[in-house]
Amino acid sequence: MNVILCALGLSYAGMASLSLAMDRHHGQVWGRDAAINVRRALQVAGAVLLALAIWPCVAGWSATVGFVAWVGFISAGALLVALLLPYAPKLLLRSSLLAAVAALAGLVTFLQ
Amino acid sequence: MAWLHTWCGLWISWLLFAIFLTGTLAVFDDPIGHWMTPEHALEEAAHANDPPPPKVTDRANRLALALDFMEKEHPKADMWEIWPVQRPGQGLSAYWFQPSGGYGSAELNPLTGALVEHVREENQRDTIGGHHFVDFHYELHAGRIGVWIVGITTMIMLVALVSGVITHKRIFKDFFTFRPAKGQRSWLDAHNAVAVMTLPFQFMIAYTGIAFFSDDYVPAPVVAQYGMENGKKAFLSDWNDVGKPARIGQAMAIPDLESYALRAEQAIHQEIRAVVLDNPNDASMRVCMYGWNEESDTLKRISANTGMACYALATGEQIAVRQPGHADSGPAGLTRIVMSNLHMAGFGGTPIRWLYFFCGLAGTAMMGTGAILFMVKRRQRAGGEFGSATERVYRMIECLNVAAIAGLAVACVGYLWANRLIPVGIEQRAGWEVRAFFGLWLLMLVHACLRPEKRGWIEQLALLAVLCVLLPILNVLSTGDNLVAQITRGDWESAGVELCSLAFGLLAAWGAWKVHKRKEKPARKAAAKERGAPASLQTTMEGS
Amino acid sequence: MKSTHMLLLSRVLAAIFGGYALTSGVAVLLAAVLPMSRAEAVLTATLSAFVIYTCAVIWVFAVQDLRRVWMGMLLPAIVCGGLGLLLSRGGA
Repeated sequence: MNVILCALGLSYAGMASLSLAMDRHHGQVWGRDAAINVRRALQVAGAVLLALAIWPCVAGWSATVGFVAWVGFISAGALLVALLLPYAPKLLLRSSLLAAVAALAGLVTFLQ
Repeated sequence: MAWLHTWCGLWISWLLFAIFLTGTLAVFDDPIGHWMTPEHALEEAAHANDPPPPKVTDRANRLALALDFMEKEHPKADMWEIWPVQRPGQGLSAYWFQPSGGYGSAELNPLTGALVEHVREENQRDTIGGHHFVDFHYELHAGRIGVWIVGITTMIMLVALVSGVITHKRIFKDFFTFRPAKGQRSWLDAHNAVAVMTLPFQFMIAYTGIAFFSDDYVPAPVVAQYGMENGKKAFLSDWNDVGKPARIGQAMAIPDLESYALRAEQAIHQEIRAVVLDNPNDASMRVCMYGWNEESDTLKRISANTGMACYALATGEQIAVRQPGHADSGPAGLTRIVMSNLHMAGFGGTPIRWLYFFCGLAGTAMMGTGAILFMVKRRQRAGGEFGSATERVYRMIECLNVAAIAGLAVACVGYLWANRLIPVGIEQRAGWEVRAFFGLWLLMLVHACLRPEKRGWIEQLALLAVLCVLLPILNVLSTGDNLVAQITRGDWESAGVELCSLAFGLLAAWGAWKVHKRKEKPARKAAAKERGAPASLQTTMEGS
Repeated sequence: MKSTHMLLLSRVLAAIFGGYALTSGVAVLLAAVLPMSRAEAVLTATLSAFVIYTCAVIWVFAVQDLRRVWMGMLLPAIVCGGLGLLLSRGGA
């Protein structure tokens, strides 16, 4: 269960971050275009979160099965983000922050 | 390229939607089958708290009994296969190649070796359960022709996927874009979103799907390398059954196989599942022992291959060993096995199945939104692609859209209703359930053709909603079992089917309501076009 | 039938049948020359066929000149197929 929540949380937060780096979606939440350094930061954060999502997948399954699971999780994360952006952008922001924090904390359980 | 995508996509959209939706449901074919055999499910539940049966210790005896049976009944068969401890149930099974081709099978009593006759229990309903969705998905219940139709459709899907990606110039910029309540714009956004976000899955599922029958669809290299006569058989034998020995013609008694089973278990670290004896009673005898993949194996590996160890019985030496997950022939063989299992989600357990379910639904939505988008666009501004027949063709496409999308879904849930409504004891009951599926689908097609487009959608979606939401009630009325009881006793397979049905029902109800509230925009007058003018082809070539 | 319809039909036929011929030809060549066992080579050839077919169809609709399209399908089909048959390991 840890594996699924962690992988999903990181995927969702990562995709949210990548989406908010785009002007159109940045505007949906904050009403303005993203400043250059903010855009970079969100892109890097998003990429890192998505990459980290491989960890619980590989730990929970194996390298090969985990990779396939990871592709599935990031697809699911992207769909969630696309669904929330037009209807509830503020909810997207808050929930993805929460997901990022919780999932990163959860990663600790895979440390041994 | 947009022209290619539109027309490839449209003509296959209806069939492909059906193939995809049934494929998505097929991910949970066993839980659906479980729900569809309530007598069996309740019996299972009654025994759920029984202690597990003791481990089998008389495998040597079982093997001997089975060999005796084969010696008496099928001495001439050139391959004997024994499953000494079946799962579940710990039974004893024997299989052999019949001279007419095809497998023969027998269930044996593990204590006496006598043939066990299968008596169908009167109160258990006869059904193919969730396998209907599997069979429809890959062969449309139509044997070889069906396999070819599905193959051709999948090939066109691959072209549609690639041309779609090429056409979608703003694929990265528009990655997360979904603008609801904007008519045609929204349909295009939805089509793009579900497709692009699950694109790896869509390519994978289409390619691994078509790869199943790759040597049927592209026989040229098989024929070139193995000849026309029995070429396919020779090829399959070559990559599946590496090193099968030829008969020598010198008689030899079958030695005790239990010692070989123990050696094999040491070699592959798996409990023995099947014992395959080639050329029995001949000096060239070979025995191959296959293992069971435990659940931990399926969680770790994509390949479904079990461990295998083969021995020449004349000398006792080990002639081949395959560790679990590996392939006999080499990397291409392994790729083929991995592709099959990737397609069928036969690895990773339940979470992977759910991921496949959602990605499958996304793919199904990709096709549905595409088909609907085609007409939404042309109701705004007719394209005149078919000259004077355009309006009639548009009407046909609208009917097919309703019937293929809402109508098919009605047929799917209708199949479950048929399972509860068709009387238990009647002849060919399983066939009647499948007929109900097709009959209902046909009925929806007729309805779609008779009703105006908007009414057709509303009525079929409403019917879908009613059938889905009332499914749990139907279950209570027909079997006495209910959703709460299922959850309480931990029967998550049945509960899952009913909960998903409820969810789909609510989705359908929401859909029906949205169509009901749809404001009809006045269509802009179609640009004046000459009858069948080349100009109409021109515009469609440039981009639709 | 109008000439534009004929041109379109020709292109579609080139994609479907020309493409299939090309795919089969390349597959026959691959099965003959790949440095693997016979079964493995045939398997690789058939598994790769669908990529080849997809690319061929896309190419047919990306290129303007219809003559080039047909040449592009049939020439490799014949050359690869012929070469593959010549080099085959004594099956057909």
